[in-house]
Amino acid sequence: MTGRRRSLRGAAAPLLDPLRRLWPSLRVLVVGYHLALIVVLSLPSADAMLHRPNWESANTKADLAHWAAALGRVGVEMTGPELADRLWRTAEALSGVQGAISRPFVDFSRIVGFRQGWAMFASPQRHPVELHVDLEEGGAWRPLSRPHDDAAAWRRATFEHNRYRKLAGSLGRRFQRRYYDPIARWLAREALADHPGATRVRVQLHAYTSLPPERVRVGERPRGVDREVRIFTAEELR
Amino acid sequence: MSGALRRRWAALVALCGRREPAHGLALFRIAVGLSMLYALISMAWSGLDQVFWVDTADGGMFDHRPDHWLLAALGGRTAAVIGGLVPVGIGLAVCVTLGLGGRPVLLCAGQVYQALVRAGPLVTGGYDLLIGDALWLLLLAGASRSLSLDARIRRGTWAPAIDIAAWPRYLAIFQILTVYTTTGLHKQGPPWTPIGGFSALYWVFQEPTWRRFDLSFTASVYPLTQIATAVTWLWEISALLLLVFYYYRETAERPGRIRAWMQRRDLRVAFVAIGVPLHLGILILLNVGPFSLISLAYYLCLWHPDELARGGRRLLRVTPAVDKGGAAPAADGGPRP
Repeated sequence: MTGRRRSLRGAAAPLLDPLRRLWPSLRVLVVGYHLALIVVLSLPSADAMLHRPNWESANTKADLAHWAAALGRVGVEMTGPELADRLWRTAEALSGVQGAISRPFVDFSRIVGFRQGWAMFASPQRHPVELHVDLEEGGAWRPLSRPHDDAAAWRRATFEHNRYRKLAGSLGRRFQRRYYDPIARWLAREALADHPGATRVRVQLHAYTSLPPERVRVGERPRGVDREVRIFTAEELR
Repeated sequence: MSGALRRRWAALVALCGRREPAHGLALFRIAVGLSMLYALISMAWSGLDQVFWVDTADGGMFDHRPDHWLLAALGGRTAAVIGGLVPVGIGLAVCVTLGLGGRPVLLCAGQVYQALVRAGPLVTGGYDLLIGDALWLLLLAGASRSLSLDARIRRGTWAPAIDIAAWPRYLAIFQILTVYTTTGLHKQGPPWTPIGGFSALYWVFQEPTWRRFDLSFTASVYPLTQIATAVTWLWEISALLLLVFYYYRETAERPGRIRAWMQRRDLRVAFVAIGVPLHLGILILLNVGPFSLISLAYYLCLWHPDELARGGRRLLRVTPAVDKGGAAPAADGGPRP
């Protein structure tokens, strides 16, 4: 240790020594704070509970109808929308509580990156959508990108990345135009950049209902409908 | 403070003051570094870093306000900023894996990773949270002191007999068990329950979003998917009960049949016997990024470093090399889990 460093330590000793003595007790508080943070931030957040598009998806409506039917079987009569209304009011009340108890942790959590809480496959999607991209060349449309389709595998490495999958999947779970429109525009721009001879690009959602096992076993495949069709011309994007 | 309270406080102070060999969290550090490396390299490789983390003016898909101080300080979600941060993040992930740079590198790795993934708020995943949490816990522990280049440079050996604080590992255990239990509690959809016929995994396999390939064949083994759904749901919800095992092992000297039974049976083995196949199944069938890798990394924390070393030796049949640290003995003379 150099003399300079030793003298610095000596000067700081009156400050550090009490801290050193207190550290074992402070350490318990630090650990307790972390434990509380993990528990409190793992509760459903107000943002997640009160996000309208989550409640309006076909999946959530089916879940609510299912739960309402189950409640009906034990004598609690109520429709899916009535159950949704009650749960929404409960969520509003809970979000206030969650907001209050998480306040001492949120800033620390954001700054240090110690975060918590997500719902993985909370309710499996039975009404998925696929993001389809078509290209018009020589006056005829052809599929350019379809999930799991070797005949339409444009930029597959990009579109099979888990973060892109998450984005595409979220369009079925909670469709929001403010996100879908930029996605469609970006896809169209990239498709035209890769295919300079194309005249138009069509981006759409192919929505369907997954089939139960007995129908899949007999070889049936889901039939879907195309919606949210966006067509871009080469002139407008180049 | 009453006598009983004082004793409890003293017990907590002693518990949080425990130290254990550094190689346990070092193994965790290596696995976390590799998970971070995969998360960042896969983004750069697919080109999505310049799509999701960059504003539309620079060719990105969306416009978002920077949600992290570092990103804001550097000038926001521009192509140049992200183009610079991604290689820095990859370099830091390599340093975390190799154990180079100690706590400053762990701090920088955590902040850079947060800055990047929070640049794309629509596409963050559960694994981002787990990686961020792990980096913070590794920073608190100073987990670069063994199985690291730092150790090699400073002490001339890869695995010096050094002890570090044990409480960050305890927090990692609590963290992963809470993740499972709360994830299980979030699964409020009827398909996870008997009401929905435990059909959840079957539906997950039919959805195009996450599956790696056509999984329609699962309709032919539907009862197996039902069993897997029930096991997954119950296992997740009950994960926090593993804390009871740790408590009973800690208090082995007290009476009780269940406590005595838990001294003979290692519940962690049963927990991992379900968790590892579950995550391997996810890894093979679904593309959810490094979620399984980072989840399994936390499993390393379930065991005391000396238990890991013994297990490793049994696996590799090599002579003792790293368990010279002073683990506090449990009531039965072995290390506390």
